[in-house]
Amino acid sequence: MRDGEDSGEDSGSYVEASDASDYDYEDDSSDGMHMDAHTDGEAGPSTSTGPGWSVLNQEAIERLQAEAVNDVVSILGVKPSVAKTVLMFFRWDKEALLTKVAERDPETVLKHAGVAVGMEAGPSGVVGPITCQVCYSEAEPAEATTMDCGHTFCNDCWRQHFKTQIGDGQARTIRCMAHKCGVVCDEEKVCILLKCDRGPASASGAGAGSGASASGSGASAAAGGSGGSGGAGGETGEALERYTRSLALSYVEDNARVNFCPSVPWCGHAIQVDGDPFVEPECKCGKVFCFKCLKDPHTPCTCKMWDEWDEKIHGDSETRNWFMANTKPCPKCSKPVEKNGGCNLVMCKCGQAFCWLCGAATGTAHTWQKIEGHSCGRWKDELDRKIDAAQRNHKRYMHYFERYKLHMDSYSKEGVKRSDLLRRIGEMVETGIEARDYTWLVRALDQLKVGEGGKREARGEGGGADMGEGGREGCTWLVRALDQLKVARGVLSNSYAFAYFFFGGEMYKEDFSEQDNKRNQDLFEEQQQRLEGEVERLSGLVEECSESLTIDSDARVRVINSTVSIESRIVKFFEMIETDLYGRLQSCSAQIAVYHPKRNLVA
Amino acid sequence: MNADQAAQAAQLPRRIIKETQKLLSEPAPGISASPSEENLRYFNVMILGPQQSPYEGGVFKLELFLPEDYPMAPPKVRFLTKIYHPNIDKLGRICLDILKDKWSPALQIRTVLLSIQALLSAPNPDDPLADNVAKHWKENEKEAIATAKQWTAMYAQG
Ligand SMILES: [Zn+2]
Ligand SMILES: [Zn+2]
Ligand SMILES: [Zn+2]
Ligand SMILES: [Zn+2]
Ligand SMILES: [Zn+2]
Ligand SMILES: [Zn+2]
Ligand SMILES: [Zn+2]
Repeated sequence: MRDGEDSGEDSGSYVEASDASDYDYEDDSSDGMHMDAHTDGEAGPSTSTGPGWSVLNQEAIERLQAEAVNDVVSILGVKPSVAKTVLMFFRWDKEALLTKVAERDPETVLKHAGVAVGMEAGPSGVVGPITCQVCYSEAEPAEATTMDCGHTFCNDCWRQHFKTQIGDGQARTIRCMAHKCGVVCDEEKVCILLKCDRGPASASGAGAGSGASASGSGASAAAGGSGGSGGAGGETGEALERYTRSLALSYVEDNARVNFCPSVPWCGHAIQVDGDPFVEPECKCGKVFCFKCLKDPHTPCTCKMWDEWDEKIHGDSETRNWFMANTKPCPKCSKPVEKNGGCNLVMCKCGQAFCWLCGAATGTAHTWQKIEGHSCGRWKDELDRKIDAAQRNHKRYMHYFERYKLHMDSYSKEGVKRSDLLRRIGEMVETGIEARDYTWLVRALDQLKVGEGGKREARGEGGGADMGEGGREGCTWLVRALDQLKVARGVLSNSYAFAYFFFGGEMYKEDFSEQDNKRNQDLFEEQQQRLEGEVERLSGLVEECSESLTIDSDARVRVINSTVSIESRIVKFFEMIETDLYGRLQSCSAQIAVYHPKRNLVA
Repeated sequence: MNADQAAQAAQLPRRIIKETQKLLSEPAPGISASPSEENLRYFNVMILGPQQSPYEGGVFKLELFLPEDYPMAPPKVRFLTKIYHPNIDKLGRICLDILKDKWSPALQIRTVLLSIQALLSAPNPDDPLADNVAKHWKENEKEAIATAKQWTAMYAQG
């Protein structure tokens, strides 16, 4: 299906740590200026410490699925296929399964999950010929199969049944054909039955060859009449493939703790959370998303807010509303006419005058009470007020939207700046600058490349691998500032969407008095503004630095300080939002992704 | 059986032939089902209203069709006679679990028809197909039953 394009470097670890491509800053100096980078390949287990999630590749998914199955095999003493059935029933939530087993007896739980209980010891072979109760044909023992529940039918009927169920998308819960039996058919038996229908020609192997044999046997089946079971190998092969694939995907698709990365085209990874599903993980491919709703990262907005915001900015219902409130089709030429000012008698460019309230053509003269040649009860009625409300609402939305958009645009620009910086440093290195002052650039280049997801290249030239203190600092601080800016831009833009919903919208209208709302908004805006100010300052500093690429230590100190300060502002900003804003909701509770600083904050 | 029918029958799965034979030779009490002359997968069905039910004395006509993938898929059954019942809608469609997700290939035409007959004896307004009838049934069972009796007398006299 997909090949592991990243297997070269990570062949040892299946579970890829969430922060694999990050450079940690661990610093114990209290001035907050010295930052140390780990540029060496990080050894050791890559389990996720901190953020609470990990990136899984195809092998990791298979391995975790097998592990879960094995656990249940040893706990419940069942065979692997049964363990899988039970786990799928419990949506791979082993804790839930064990709790149920502890509450009731295991037999009841197993039975409920579609497992045959107390039959497993019984003989599964058939002694003499049987009459299949589905097709009413006689079947030799070799031509019939007994499921774990003890029900026997002929192989052709089983196969037909499997194909129907798989075709209906029920692959994970194919139940026994007996009425009211409910036992899920054993995976092994399903596979065996579907495999042995592949026709003699398919023995040569799968792939292109089986296509030809499939069409051959298909034709012969058609010649033999439409009745019953004559198996077309291709069709059965396809069913088997769908079946296996469906079971393999169950660990992700049925599992509340695992989601596929929503990247398009799909990168082949999935994300597993340890517990809290309200996180915004970053996939190996670079995609950051809300684990809960799979949309772009949106904290401090809740998923619900984001959904509405998304709808608003893309679905454009707001714009449509505004248009509806502000334009009406001319009764003569049908072009939309905008209402300007308070007068409800509007004039189209074509020269036609009409009444805004009822849309009918009128004369051009009017008084306070009456339009010439027109009498309508809605003249000067309350509609005016409704239009005002729509306009006010639109203004409010535009206020937040413009700021949201501004930071969004900057967010994309920080990314461009980063690659731009990478390119220019690359050029300088290429042209052979080896002066001591620039050696940090070599390392910065490596840093940037790591961040870009590229391969780490060992640079031969210069003493780049082992620099003095100055060099080691130099290799990261600018990159880090750019990364921090990007994060902060994301937070800021989302915070405008948040503000649109949280203060004065419909969503939490019941929760706060006008006074409280005002106080909340002030508190919020104060911190938001400070963060914004700091971000703009750093943005300017970084711009200067990356333009000249010759930096005095003073500028470097300022950049580093500003970077650290932004990080702590964001942390505080989120603390305030969670405790002082969401924390005071009365009517409902809201959950958002907790903000995790990407690097250790210097205390 | 004419030549045409014989040719048709030759193409029918053994199961359908056997079921048909049994339906004709040993009909279930109060139920008759016979295949149509043009299409042996299409059955004309008659069910007598069960005793002690509002449908007593009625003769209800139904159609039953065995789809291509029968018995892997359930038969399609529909009332042709108008009937006032919370689990049967205006078009005669029947809300019965074994005709949907609880279908099992081991069930038969005979068991399906017996289940439908049982449904006439025991309407289930909690799983309704005809919402207004079910509402009527829940709010005023006496009156609903009276209506069902009326309809039986009006529409189900064979
Ligand atoms: Zn069979
Ligand atoms: Zn069974
Ligand atoms: Zn991805
Ligand atoms: Zn979300
Ligand atoms: Zn006009
Ligand atoms: Zn006017
Ligand atoms: Zn008017």
